Amino acid sequence: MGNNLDRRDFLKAAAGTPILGAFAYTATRKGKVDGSRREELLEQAGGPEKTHPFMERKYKKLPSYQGNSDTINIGIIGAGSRGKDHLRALGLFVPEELTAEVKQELAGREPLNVRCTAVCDLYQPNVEFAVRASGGTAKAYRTHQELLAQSDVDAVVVATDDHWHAPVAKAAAEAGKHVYVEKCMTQNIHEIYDLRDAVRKAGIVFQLGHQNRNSAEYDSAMNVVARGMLGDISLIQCYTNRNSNSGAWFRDVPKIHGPLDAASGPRNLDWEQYVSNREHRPYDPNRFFNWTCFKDYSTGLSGQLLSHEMDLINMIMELGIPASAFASGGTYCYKQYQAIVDANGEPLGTDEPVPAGARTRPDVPLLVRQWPDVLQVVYEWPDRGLTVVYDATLGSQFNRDQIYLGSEATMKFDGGVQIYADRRSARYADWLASGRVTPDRPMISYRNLSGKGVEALTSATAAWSLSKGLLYTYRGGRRVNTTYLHHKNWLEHMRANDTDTLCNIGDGFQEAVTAHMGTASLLTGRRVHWNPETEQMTTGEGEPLEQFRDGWQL
Amino acid sequence: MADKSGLGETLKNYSGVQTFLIAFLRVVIGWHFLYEGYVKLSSDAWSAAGYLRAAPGPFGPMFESMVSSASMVGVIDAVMAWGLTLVGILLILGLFTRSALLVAALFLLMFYLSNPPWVGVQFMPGEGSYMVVNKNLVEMAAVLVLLVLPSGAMWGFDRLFARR
Repeated sequence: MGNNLDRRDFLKAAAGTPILGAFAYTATRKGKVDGSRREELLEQAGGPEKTHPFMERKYKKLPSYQGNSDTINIGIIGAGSRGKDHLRALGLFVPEELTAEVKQELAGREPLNVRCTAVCDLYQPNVEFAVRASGGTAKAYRTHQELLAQSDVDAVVVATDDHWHAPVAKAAAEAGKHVYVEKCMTQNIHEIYDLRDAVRKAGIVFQLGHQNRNSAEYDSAMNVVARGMLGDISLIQCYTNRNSNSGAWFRDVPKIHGPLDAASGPRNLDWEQYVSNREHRPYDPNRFFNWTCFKDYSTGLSGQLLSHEMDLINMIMELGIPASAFASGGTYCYKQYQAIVDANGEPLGTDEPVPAGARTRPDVPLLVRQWPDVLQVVYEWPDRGLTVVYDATLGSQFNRDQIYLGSEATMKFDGGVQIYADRRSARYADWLASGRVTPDRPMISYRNLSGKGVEALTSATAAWSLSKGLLYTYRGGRRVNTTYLHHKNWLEHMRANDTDTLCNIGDGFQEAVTAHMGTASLLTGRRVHWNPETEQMTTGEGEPLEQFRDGWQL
Repeated sequence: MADKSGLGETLKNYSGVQTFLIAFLRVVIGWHFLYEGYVKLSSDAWSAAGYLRAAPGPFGPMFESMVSSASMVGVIDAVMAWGLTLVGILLILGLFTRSALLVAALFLLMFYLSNPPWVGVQFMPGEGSYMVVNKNLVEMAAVLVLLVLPSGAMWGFDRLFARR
């Protein structure tokens, strides 16, 4: 009887064990079912696997090279806010920025094996910052010409204001230095040709600063496009939405500023050099620190934000330069800004609330925006049957996702990549009829970084993170810095003596022409065409665009 | 029988149906925990960071500060994925049931507080809108009920410990 009891006891004790078995069986089966549905979906949605040409470029195995262990000496030209980002991406931090978290992130990176040997900036505090970040290895140079004459500089990062991008990059190429230059590649049209010629002639390794070419979520998008899952894509829409003073490039002017040749007061910036390739004007801190608002130094929305969107679309769709561009826009929201100080005379940030007793800042004049803050550009590729619309306002931060509208399906970026079957699709008609797929929910949803899988959603938590795109920024708890990846790509190509970087001079040519076609159209009020034979922008009648200067030159 | 603890007597107070339903409740909660853990372990991209960063309500800043550094994110992700899995297995087996139930209740309390369905608190998409009581709270209540019942000793490995 005791035996019986023990056995019964044991059965009762182990009652849960078969449930574990059932769980394991069900989980395996679910994995198989999800997996086969995945295969089937991809098979039927897109036909056989096809590789997007850019994917081959992106994941190309570089030939083994010698001198891998040699440190590459970098010069930083322009060490303002973006230049400081570059130092950090290169792993160079001032001591106070080296927090435990930063150290941990650095430990997870492959070392780039670079040294910053030179720095040039027209604003003295930026120079001091860069020298400290370099760990003392960088020497400061007053002009980029002096810096480029140094033999201990192999390559330069150009993060100046836009109107110095091309002149500095060109001089660097001519001096035989490899170049990483920020977008927009040039500030005007003729510089595009000059820079391309100089880079090609010198044979240097060139990288344009569209670092989001490294984001792995677009691998999925390229896969979708390469396999033709969307059918005929007739319209792509892309957007910029912002709504703050700093977002509209009304930025903080430092408390202490003044040109080197000032009769009195602080002297910490080289105004004469800054305007030396543009119309000479008396010192204006807004023109120096808030250059993005001015036609002499920037191209406004088209160079700053349109160029990112259009470069991404060009990468995914392989469009090249559009046949035509037509732009419209205006200055509606952030027309002007007066810098202020608080009651104690301390400068206030442009997005800080205005306290009682605030008054006009005496050393900073009224900032009046020259480039529009609302801009629409319509680009056409008639031979592809495609129109791309860029649609921007700096007066509303409502989020809109880049969207590709095709005859069979629509693709939307919201951190991941979502594919919606079209209600009238022929290819997905059976699925739609059976209710297996509905037009208002993603048919396929990519979430992973490597572009390998199709999402099979599990819990509400995962679904939510997916919709916010947060899975991508923090992967395994680690932030992936795309600027670091872009530098890594540039340096690897230098070491392999290969000029086909992720955003090479050919990509840069297309980026700059596309952006400036929009700007030229905005300023002339006419549709601007592109002649691929002569590589010239023309009017609708095929005439070259006449030279004009409205604070911006062709 | 008389030399054994009072547990046998206690268990006799429950009918067969009651015993079965109490065990059933424990096993389904275990299954749910195990699946939530398994999904996180088997996904290469899952992290709690995004969810915690966006936690609404009065405890939002506390949850946000929990993921302020990469090392913290790593720890929390591991605790979540392995903790849920382990609690799930223990609840299904009825092994160390009390400890597992305590941890389960703590997890559910945290889930509840990180996204509280209180009037005036913006709810996160995905879960839908509730009023004070949501599924996390209901599951926590069920866990607390199990905590005052000897469910592991009814059907579960705890029976072996309880009797020896």
